[in-house]
Amino acid sequence: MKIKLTNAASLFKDKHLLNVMRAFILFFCTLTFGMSSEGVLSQDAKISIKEDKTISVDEVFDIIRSQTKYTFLYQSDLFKNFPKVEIKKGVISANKLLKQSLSAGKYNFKLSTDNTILIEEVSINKTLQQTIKGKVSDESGQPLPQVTVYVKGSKNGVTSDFDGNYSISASSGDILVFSYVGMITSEVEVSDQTSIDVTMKVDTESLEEVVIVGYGTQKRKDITGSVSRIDAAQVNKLAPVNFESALVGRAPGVQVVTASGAPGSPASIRIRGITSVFGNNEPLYVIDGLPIEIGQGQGNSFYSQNYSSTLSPLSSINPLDIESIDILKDASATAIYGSRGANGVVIVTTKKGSYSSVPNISLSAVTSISEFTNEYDMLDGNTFHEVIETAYLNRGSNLPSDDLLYPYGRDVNTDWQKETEQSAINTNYYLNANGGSLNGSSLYSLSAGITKQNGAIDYTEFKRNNLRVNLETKLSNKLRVGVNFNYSDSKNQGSNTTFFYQTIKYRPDIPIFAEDGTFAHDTGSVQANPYSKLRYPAFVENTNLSVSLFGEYEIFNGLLFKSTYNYTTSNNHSFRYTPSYDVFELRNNRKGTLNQNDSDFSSRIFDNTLTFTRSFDKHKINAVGGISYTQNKSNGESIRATDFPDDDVSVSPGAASSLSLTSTGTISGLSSYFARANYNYDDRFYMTFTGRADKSTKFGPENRWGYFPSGAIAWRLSREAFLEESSLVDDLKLRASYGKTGSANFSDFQYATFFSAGSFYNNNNGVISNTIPNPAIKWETTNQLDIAVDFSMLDRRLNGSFGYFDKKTSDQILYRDVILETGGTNQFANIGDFGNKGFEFQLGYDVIANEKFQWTTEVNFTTIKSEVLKLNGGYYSNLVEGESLGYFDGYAVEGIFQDQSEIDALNNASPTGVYQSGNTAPGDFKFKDRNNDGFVGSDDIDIIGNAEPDVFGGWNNIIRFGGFEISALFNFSVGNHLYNSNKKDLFIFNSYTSNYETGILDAWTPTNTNTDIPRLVQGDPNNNRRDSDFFIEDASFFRLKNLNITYNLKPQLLEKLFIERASIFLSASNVFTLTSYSGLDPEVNYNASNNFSQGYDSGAYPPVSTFSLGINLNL
Amino acid sequence: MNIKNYIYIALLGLSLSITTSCELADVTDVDPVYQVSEDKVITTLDQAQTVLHGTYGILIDGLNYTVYTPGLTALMGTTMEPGPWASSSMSAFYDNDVSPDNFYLESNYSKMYFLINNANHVIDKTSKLEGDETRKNEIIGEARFLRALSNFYLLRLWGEFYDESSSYGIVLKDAPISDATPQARATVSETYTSILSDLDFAIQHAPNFSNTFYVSNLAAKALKSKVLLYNKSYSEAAALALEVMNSNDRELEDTFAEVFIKKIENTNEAIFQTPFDDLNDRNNKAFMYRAYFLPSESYVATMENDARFTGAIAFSAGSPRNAKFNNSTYNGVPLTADTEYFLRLGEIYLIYAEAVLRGDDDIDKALDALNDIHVRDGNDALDIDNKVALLEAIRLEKVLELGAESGEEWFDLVRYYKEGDIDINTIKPLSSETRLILPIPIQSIRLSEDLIDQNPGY
Repeated sequence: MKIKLTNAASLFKDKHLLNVMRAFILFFCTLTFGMSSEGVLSQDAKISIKEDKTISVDEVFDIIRSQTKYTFLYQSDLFKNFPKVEIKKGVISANKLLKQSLSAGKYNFKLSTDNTILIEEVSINKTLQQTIKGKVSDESGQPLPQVTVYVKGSKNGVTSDFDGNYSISASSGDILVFSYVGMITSEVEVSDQTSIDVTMKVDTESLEEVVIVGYGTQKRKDITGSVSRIDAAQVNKLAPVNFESALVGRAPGVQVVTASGAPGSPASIRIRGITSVFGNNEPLYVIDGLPIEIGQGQGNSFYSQNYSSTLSPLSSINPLDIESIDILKDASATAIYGSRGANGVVIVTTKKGSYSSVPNISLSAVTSISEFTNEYDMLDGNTFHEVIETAYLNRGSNLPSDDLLYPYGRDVNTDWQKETEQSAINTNYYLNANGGSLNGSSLYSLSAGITKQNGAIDYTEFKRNNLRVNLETKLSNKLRVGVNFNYSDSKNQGSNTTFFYQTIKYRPDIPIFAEDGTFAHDTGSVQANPYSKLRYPAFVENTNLSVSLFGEYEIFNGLLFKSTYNYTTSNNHSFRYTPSYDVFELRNNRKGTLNQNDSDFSSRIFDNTLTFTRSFDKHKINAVGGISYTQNKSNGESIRATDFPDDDVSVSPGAASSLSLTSTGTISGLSSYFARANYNYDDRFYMTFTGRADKSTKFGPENRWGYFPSGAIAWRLSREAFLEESSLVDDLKLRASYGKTGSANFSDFQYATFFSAGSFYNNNNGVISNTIPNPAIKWETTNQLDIAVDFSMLDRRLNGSFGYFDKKTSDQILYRDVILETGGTNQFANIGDFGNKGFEFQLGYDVIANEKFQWTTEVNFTTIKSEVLKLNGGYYSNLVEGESLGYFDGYAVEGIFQDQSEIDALNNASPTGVYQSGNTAPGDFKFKDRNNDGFVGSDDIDIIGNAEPDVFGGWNNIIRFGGFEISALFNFSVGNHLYNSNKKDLFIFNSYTSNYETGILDAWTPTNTNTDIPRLVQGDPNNNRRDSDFFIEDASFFRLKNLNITYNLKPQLLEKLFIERASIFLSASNVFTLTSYSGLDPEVNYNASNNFSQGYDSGAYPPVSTFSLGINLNL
Repeated sequence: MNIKNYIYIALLGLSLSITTSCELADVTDVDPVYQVSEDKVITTLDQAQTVLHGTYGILIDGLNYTVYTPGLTALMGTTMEPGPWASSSMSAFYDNDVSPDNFYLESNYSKMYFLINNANHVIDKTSKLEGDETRKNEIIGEARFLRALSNFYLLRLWGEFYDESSSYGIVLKDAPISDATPQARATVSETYTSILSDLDFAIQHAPNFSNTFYVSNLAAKALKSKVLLYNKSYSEAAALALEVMNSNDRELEDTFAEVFIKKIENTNEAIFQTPFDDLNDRNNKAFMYRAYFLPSESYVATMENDARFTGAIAFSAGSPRNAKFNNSTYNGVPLTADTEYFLRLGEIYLIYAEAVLRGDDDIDKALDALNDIHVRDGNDALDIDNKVALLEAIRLEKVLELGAESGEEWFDLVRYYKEGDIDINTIKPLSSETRLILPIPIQSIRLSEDLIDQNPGY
């Protein structure tokens, strides 16, 4: 056989050439893209032909080679007997010319990276490889994308595309292996055919999803505890900036409320309610095996103090990096996290490499636009003055002087809302490459992301850059090692210092600029105007680096030792500067004030586990045991610097004339032993035992070690004879668990007397003792019972789960009074009892499932009742036995007094001579005398609402047809109340120093009596603004949280673009809301860091609606 | 590489991880950051000095010693009245009707015990150190003075200090606390014994006077003369007060007003007072004395006929203000921070006058001392020759000289009343005799399960 090389052919002797060519072919197999002649050359390769002529194919190649960068490699006699080609004068694309020339035969083209094109004849008789094409589908005929297809014993492999099509080179006699998670791997021998279609069967043994539990994985069907798995693809349909905010409505028992509409705003998550008063009640997050406690596990006050000067560690994670999210809820699942498990555990797993020799490169770009879901209609300057005049008239008092009332004249009118808004455009770019070797010996995933989110308020912005690398490889058959690396830097500008309510309430009769060009301000106040305030530099910067290294050694078949070391460091820098021209600075004779906060956190974790798996006959055992050491440290410096030479270049602590500095630091250590054993008899009966022992620096000497055992049993009824043959029920499992978990979410070293600096005297920094030690301090204990049934019916089209839980927290930490001769007033003690009970319900149904159209619907909801069971002499805030933590108290409004006689009658009947206030007049609220003692006093304050919902949940729908996928996620909450604080400030007159909503024009007057807004009166003599049920509103809502329309482009189109898959999506969040709540938005939790002001709507930064357009490409 | 090599590497790795894990496993063997444990806090005299500075710092922390205690005591007496911002729990002191759950009552009471506990740490731990005995005793002496000062405050406000035989003394803490175990009250006599023994140690060992911000043996003598006056050891009190007056370390300022203009700078008269500056010791006393504690109408009226009027009373938009604590400057920076005079020489003259009169019946010496203060700003000298009238003149002089300052005139009312010199109800009507002292905070009564007795009438 002879080989013809168009270049340098004569350098090689035939024998060598054959070897060279084989080597090339092998080379091409791994590095080339298979393609037809239509797309082999680039689109812009053009060939100009001088005159019409008829030439041989070999001559065509010479022409193309001379005019383009391409060279050709083929067997020299391949076109020997090939028909001649007629070419015409003019310009023709190289591709077209090639196609015309070769139209009489069937050839394979391969383009290598150096623009060499390999041409082979497609022939079944040759020992050379042939291209096998085909389609992979499941038993119902649905195409299966992402199926790995490879030639057994070789490194040659591909994956099927979106329509299940694949194309692979193989030789006759080779065996093609088709594998896919949850399907039985099938093998087909290649003979003469060029097309092999494969139908894959569901592997009922591996059913099925694998869920990730603490320190291991389990098959969904074998799970004995309560674990909800959330598909990252669903989460990412919301195009979220932080993944936790996108967990809304996804899983029963998991209540997610985003803090606000500020860019980068975190969400607060409560799994099965609140367990701790001083702890922050967020779940434990485990990111790729690395536990993260929100607020560093230092308790709620630490968390609150650092809330605005640091970014949540979760905000460093790019949601697109996430592969799956598993939420552990019951004690059986969480007890392995011991003293940190009481609030549930959220396990986040990032993308790993895949067993595909072809790199899977994905690229996504999303652009969004956000705006407030709702806005207030504020008074303009003239109406504002009219309202003030009426209010002073009604009080019978003189108007303030003109320079207070009209500081910039009567005709100024500024719409602060309009002046401080921006059209918030967000962009998000993400690139990921992952793959690995076919035999699974090496896997890699590399990703990079850039996120930029603008807020709806000007000068507020969140930016983040991410890099993530996950690598692992087998050093031998028994030893596997890997590294995970994650870096991110983020910057949040303005949103911690910019408050919407300050903006809207600013007087409308103040201009932005005064006549002299400086920023104008209300002369009677020390608040700068919102337009200037937004421009003050204020930001928080965060860098986060996490590196972990692991080694996994198989000691013998079934026994695996794994050791992981992780180091994480996170630095926060917050900078807030008030310039010298600020009113308050001027008033205080200061030339600028800088508040700067630097803090760093580091965590070292060393985990060692042994995992044992063994099955014999019908018995299966899976056990894991381990040791874990954790040490967390943090350090912080707060600097308050005043008086700077100028407001621009020299703003740094070093340039200030006066400085004060405080340092803080924490350190905590945790040594743990843990174990879990799963026993499975015949896939029919299951038992799980879990336990952990924690030794923590937070526990006093009397309680050095904490023990957290749990047990669970399950019975799969569907495996019993009476159900096995059932055509209705496919799977039915009863499960129950009971166990103990803990929460040690409070500051370290509460158990002994310690001394610290900071007691200054005459410029000496002295040292004094801290608070009263409690040697018995320990974790809070939560005992939880969980009973549930999981089922799958109607050919697995109907799936669901229904469960009951009862969580009781004892040893809850509260304040306990101490005798004052100790020099203190109280100390922490483990004395309270607290309970959470509820039901969780989840149901999914494939309503329509045929080849053309599919509709899947899934609904979940949860009811929780929480209760303070016993205080045992402890106290904190307004805790009351028998009530939940989230109640509001205040007076009850019975209506508005319509005439003076009614007030007189009540005053006369009162033992004090006054019913509620000496200055009550018609148009004021009438408060209820609850205890019937004849007057309204503090005894009449009672419970007026509860921030906890009766029921909350989500309803998700996915519809697929053609290339479209439409998903609609609804979420809802019923029975929760919000404290609408804006209603107090915007609808009830108090003074002339702030603006009001136009709704105040409906205030009571003798002629406008049918209203619920009290009269306009200066100074609010009746104290209509006192806490009352007028401000507590039912905030139940039903909302279209997200609507996502994705169109998957046709693969035929994409092939030409070298793109394997591509989709375009349109996503809208917070689309519409049904609610009776009168505030801007019912779904808020402004004070996420405070357990006692849940349900408080301050309007700090209202929620936004976001509309996104995105594209995802897979190369 | 063959399989043996892998095993070798794995074993090496395992042994490495075990050896390093010994270090890693010690994760719970840590000390808190920026905090020192009790056994390490005082191991040298320098450390003892640092804790002593911290203990001094309690005097200015939280305004208990510098504003609330003096201000509320003056409300109980005649020279102050509640300002526009004062809450009802402040007015209760003005009404001499303070309930056992009063916020300020608890706050002042526990703050004083907090200082005592830290002083006890210094005393206890420093005495166990080896080293320079003089320096060691100086530190202990200063700490014992601070303990005595606090115990004296506690006794005057919460104990029947006027009755040596009374069992209603205070809870005496003489060692650092390790837990919250309750302890019963000592008798009045035991309390005086403790205070006097602390002061005797301080007179013997505390440093010589060099600075008004720190305890000196002079300050100890001055405080002891005051304690002895309360304890009715008049002759001893007079002798000690005279020692202080004759010491060359301190002298009266030329004018009354100068005391409050100088405040803490180049002062001649102050014996022991709190510092302030524009940084860490920046309190808000002047503001508090405008917003919460104002000079009373009767005090302003009394002052009007005295040469010290302009030094004591200022006017702002026609309303009287306390000129003693009405803005300050520090390094040229205007501040609302101010000092608290625990002891100044002017008061010692008046202690001497009363003590020498009551103890030695020496009308001349008493009148001379009284006139030293009275004529300083140009008042005509007083000429009184009967003891009863002179005693009353001394009491009135204390109102004129020390009014609206630290509440001393309230204790004078109680002492004079108990001595039978005056009828307190004609000056400050009280609902009951039991209102001469404050109730022990309810929290201590409740948690002690009645081990601590409440004062009669509460």
